[in-house]
Amino acid sequence: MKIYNLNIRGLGGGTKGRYMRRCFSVEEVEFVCLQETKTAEVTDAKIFSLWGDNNVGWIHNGGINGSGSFLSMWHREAFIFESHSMGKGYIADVGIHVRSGQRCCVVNVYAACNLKEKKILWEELASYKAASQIEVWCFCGDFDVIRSRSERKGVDRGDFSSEIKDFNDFIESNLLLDLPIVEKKYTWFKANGTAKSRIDRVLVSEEWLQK
Amino acid sequence: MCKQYVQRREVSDHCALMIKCVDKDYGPKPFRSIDAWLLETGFSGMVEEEWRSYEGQGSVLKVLKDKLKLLKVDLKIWNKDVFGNLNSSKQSLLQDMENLDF
Repeated sequence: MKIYNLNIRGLGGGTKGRYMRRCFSVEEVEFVCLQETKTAEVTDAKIFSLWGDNNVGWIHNGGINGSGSFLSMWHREAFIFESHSMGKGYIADVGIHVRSGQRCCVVNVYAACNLKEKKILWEELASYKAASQIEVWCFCGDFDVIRSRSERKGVDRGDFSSEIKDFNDFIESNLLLDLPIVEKKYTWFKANGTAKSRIDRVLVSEEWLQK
Repeated sequence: MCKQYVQRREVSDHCALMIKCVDKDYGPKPFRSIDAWLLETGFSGMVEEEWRSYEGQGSVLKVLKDKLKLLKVDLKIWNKDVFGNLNSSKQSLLQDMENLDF
């Protein structure tokens, strides 16, 4: 499945919409995960304008009054939506990926900065996955955590070893694979260029690769 | 091969990721084992026996990699035929307990 993921920092007006629409249609994107929509609610009209037409399904998690809000969208002919589950920091969509014929679950993750809340989120995701019959999984989003010190540059404050360990434990114990990263080593850059990190990523189950 | 392609940064301080799978090369898969296997009688003997039967060529590292690859196949078979599916045996044990409760 072709997935697009971005922490968009507000759905904004026309510019961001145009930018994404072009990208979705050129790349034939099937599923989209956006974090930080900065809005408590979205309307069909807004979604249709982001997507380019009305052949789109969507679930929005408004967070708390728009803080920690994020959005999943999919092409209705590429992904036959069946059900969803939502909690603080995640939206899980179950459906059939038409091209592979497989039932799968795409989880859009938007983790809180807070270490404790992150740990709760990993636990919640792990128990959700364990309770499900689905084998084909993809977790993508802004995890706001790195897997090793080399994935963060320019931030001196604090010691990240505890959150790094929690995150790696989550990946290991759920048998998830970290897909190779191409084009750039980092996914987030501070505006003045003094810091960068790899806090956005995609994790999939081994079964995902077989489709 | 599935990869995460980091896009040019344009409308946010984050870069978009495009997850795409091209061709049929799935890339390297990690070698994994289950702790519970080690508790099973005969497991370490089986591994040792299989391991000795493998022959490798080339550098030491390549031989190790090739042997792990061969072991992975044998472990898969052993897991299926001897050890059995943990989930289904757990389910059947739970069912037995349920039946006893009646």
